Amino acid sequence: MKSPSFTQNVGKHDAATHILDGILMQGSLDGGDNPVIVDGRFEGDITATELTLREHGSIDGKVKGGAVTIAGTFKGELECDSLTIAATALVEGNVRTNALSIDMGAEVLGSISRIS
Amino acid sequence: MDNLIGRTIISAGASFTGKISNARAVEVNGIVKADIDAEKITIGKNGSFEGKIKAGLVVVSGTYDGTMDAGSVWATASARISGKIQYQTLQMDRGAALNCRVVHNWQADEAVQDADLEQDHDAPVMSDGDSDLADKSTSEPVKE
Repeated sequence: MKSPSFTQNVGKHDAATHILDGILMQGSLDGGDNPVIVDGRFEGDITATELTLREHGSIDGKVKGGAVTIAGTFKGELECDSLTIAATALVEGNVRTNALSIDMGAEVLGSISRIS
Repeated sequence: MDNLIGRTIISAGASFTGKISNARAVEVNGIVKADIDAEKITIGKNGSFEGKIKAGLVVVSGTYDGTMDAGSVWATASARISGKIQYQTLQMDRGAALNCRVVHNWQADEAVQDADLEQDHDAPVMSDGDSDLADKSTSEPVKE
């Protein structure tokens, strides 16, 4: 029996955990080995090897990750191997990272330190 | 890496515990323990979902445990469902395993039909507006 169109079209985009714009997720998320992309709103804890917080997305809580890119609004605690903060980002809280890049225009409030 | 399909995805290997609200289409290929309110939910072949679902359409190919309240439910061949399903329409493929309470939601079904009838015969009466007889003849059988 054929699957409906809803279960078809599951291609390569399937690999990433993707939280779309408009959605609200509250709780704890572990991305496993796959990347996590946040366009919506997340409240809680995220663990991910690769995390992208897009321009209109927001995260309120604790993030532990490998490579993290922030272009949206982040509030809370962030610990990661490398962090890229884009021009559209607002980051508020404590950041612990080993490699950091901040684009001109980004708002960063709080403390930044290395993971020793 | 753009998600062109337009749905929120919990990928294989990922796990989420908590609450999901304001969602439209959600696809679960990982492990989710949550309460969710959405338009469409797909639980993929290797996906697992535990918790309350309220949705228009639920397609289950993986494992589900909880209370589901859905307009349409499709249990595909690899579905494993336990808990309770409340539905309007249900499709079950050969091989699907349902170990659950299944309730066809008659009450809600009738309520929806009544609402439709009322709307249907209200509209022409309003626009005609000339005949009391026509009004009675259409409305009385419905009331009895």
